[in-house]
Amino acid sequence: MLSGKNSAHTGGDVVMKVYVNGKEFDLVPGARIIEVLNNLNINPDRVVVERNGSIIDRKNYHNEQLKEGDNVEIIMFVGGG
Amino acid sequence: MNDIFIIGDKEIKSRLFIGTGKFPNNRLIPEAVRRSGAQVVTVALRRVDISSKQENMLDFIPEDCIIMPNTSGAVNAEEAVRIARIARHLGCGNWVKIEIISDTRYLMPDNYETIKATEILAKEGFVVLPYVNPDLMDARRLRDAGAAAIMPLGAPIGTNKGLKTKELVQILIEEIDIPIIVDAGLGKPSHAAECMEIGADAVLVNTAIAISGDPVAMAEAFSLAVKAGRMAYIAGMAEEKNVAEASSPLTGFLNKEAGEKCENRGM
Repeated sequence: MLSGKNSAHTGGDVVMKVYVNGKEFDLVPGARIIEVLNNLNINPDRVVVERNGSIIDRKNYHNEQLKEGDNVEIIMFVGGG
Repeated sequence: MNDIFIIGDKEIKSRLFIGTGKFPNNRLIPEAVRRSGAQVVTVALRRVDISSKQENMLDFIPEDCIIMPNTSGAVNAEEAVRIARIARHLGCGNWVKIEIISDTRYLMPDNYETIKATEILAKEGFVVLPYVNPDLMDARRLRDAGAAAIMPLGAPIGTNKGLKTKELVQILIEEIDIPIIVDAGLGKPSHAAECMEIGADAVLVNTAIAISGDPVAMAEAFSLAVKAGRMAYIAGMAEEKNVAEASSPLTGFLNKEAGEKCENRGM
């Protein structure tokens, strides 16, 4: 359901382009944020997700559906001073 | 004597804050925190690297620590506010260190943008600790804007030069009635002790611990220095003088003639 920009998808399937952390992905239309996180092996409790500049509440990861051209940012804590 | 340190409405048990950047191995971080007794630990926020497995900093910070995300990466107030709001959504508290830097050579903080960000975030209920150049007028503006403390730099980030801004920090300590926490540029435990001796409320150290030969031991060394400096400040240090003052009385010296007679008899 999730593929990088250069990988082929089955001919005839509809996909939508979504940008995740600046990279282009082909997703199944209506893909939910939780599905994106699961496919990327990212623990949803340890990140914050922004969609088109707005922070998405964790409880909405299971129902918020992405649309063509969405910009998704997945952010975590790293080392810093 | 009870030496209580309060920020926001929380009593902080250690006057050494530790940063988590640049450690050669993240597994050293919980050990450094435990050995030093540090309670406040800073982190940054970045995009998840979706092409490779990445360690999550939350796995390395003991549970009883206060996590203070910084807004590093922000070049203006708007970006810092966005980062702070994202950080709060991670559910680890509402502390934020405002770090707004557009100077890439010296990493000097932008006081003007920092004041703007402080006004916005303090109103949103954050516990705001702004990292700034030590300027008295800006410190007053930050205090009026609702900052919980002021964090003046000791020297540019990562330079390990020590308290190069000593006189300006002393002015802040004298004039500003919220905690002053020296942050950045401290390279040795003696630098941290110096900050505490002049009356700073705490220090934040990252590079000097993380890139030392033994970060866990260095964290403990800094903790001891911070305690020593604070104890000395509370005890009241003796003043400097320009001329010597003998340590023993100037009367009751031993009889010199008696001494010479003993010498003559070969004693």
